[in-house]
Amino acid sequence: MSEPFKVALVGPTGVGKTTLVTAILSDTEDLLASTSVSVVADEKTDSQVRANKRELYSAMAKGTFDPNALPSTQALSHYELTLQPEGDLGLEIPFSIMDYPGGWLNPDNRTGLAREQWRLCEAHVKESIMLLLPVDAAIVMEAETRAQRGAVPTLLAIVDVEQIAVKWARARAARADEPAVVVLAPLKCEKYFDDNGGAGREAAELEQKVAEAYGEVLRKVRKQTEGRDLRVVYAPIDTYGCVHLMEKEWREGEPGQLEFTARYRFRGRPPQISVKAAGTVMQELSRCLVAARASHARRDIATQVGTHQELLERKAQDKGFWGTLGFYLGGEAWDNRQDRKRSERDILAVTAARAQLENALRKLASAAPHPRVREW
Amino acid sequence: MPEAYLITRGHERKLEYDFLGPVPPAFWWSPLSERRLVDLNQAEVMAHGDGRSLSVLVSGIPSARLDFVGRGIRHTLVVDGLHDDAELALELVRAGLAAAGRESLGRRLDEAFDEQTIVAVRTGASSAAVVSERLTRALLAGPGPGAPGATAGGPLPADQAGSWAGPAGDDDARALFLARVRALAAGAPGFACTSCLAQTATAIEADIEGLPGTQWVLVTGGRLAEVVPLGKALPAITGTRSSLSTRLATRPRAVAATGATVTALIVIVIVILLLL
Repeated sequence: MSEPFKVALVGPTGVGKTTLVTAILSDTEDLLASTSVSVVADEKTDSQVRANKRELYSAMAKGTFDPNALPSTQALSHYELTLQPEGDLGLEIPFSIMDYPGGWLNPDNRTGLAREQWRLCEAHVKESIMLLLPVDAAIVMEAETRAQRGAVPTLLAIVDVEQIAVKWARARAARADEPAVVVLAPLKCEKYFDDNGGAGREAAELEQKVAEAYGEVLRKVRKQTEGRDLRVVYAPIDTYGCVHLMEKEWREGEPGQLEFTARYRFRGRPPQISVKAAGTVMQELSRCLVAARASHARRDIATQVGTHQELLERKAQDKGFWGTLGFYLGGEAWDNRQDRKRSERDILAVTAARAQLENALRKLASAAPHPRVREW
Repeated sequence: MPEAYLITRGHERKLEYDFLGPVPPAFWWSPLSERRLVDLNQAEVMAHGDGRSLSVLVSGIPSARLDFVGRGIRHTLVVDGLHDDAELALELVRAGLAAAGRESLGRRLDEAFDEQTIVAVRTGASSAAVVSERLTRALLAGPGPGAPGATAGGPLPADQAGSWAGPAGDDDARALFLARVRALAAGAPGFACTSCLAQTATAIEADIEGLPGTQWVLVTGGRLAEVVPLGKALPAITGTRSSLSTRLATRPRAVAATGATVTALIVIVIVILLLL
């Protein structure tokens, strides 16, 4: 695995993946509020997140909310997030989330551009320590008739998700000593909970329906990863918190296939964004790294390197999960940056910052999960 | 002879974004997108010259059509073989740099490719040759009255040597960007592109490292206030007011490095003399 630590985001088109990344950033900031470590988007992810927020704030100012007004993904996108202690000491823990057009999940839809780029998507999925499966909660919950329920697997692209999930699980099975976590994340679920300004009491029903819809996917993932640790987490996320599903429409799209459209309105005057449970993603990633570091303390993860040239080459190397872990948490990243003589004060500062980073990771990892979150 | 290609999608869920019909022989923009200098999900303009040929890509062109959940569809237009038609290349780039130009381009593409045509090509009911023929016709029809691509917009400045970045909102920066596109058409190798992701010259310098030729990056949403030189290049002082003032205000790295080397040599000589 090349640095950074990777997350595979696998969901159908229109589920709200970019908005999820924005919510993860925001909620993790809150979780880290009392530490000297922050979660930072790189310059380009920051541009994407700000564009997403601009669209949302504009909609809030107008008082109308149309999730479909947000542009859909038509090409590969990377979101790069980093945990950083205070000060520019070169210490950080980077994570990379890859997004792509949801329709590319279906091999039949991959022609020119998609076929070319899909190899990059697959490589990223296979190297990811986390499989993040966003689920459109409204599709799961608002299917009432038999025909509507029959349309759910297609709308959630279950067959295609299963195929990718199995590939991820096989790759994890081949790297049994590396972490493996699946996060099933229902989105747009504000209507079904009563803990964020709504009056919904359907949390249990949502969990049951998601478990049914993804039961076969999880069964196959578990089968592929038999004999190794696998963590499956259910985390229903409010990416907005201040919206409420008002109208729904089931209509015939392609022959024999129902399409689902939902309309939302803002809740509250003025509406206030209130993200819930999105920090679970960074919590779980932190848990992966803390557990891995604790269980493999015997490993010599701080590789000894000497010359400046070796240090530069080392940064660019494909280090594998353990190499990457050692690079960022064993202090090699800082050693790499500090290729000249350093003062005692510098060493003390970086030692303190490294401790802050590890403490923040531990804090994230050991924080009580959001009450909505379950380990399956 | 220019060859045009179109990335778009149809209304139905399965008709995801991809090339409609013919696929270009090379995805020449991949080095830019893989380095995250450009984002094809947004409105970007790219031009690439390899010394023999010129290609242009304009993304984020709005269509009036909607997808299956009601989201606005966007087109991405790729045109190769523009070295013999620098005017068409400049017209496309001008159109791509302005919202009105994009909208005009979007209307022409929508007229050429309605939903039925897209479904027919994607399902194989219509031949891919239809796409090339309609795209050529749409491009030759011109940008339409009032669109920014309709007029040349005055004489362009001379191209500046080296790699540069500048703010897209700056008239001088846009004129120099167009001058670079014209130079690429004349055989200069390199890229000229907008970037809605990069915000600083430092990030752009990292992104363009190792790219062949010289690069010109117009930053559309970042923190660049003026035109700045990139990397090791030492451009000629032939630019416009803002670029000239930037040049004078900025001390190129190469000059700084040379200064440091000379100082070090002087110190060494003095030390040797003192020891003697």
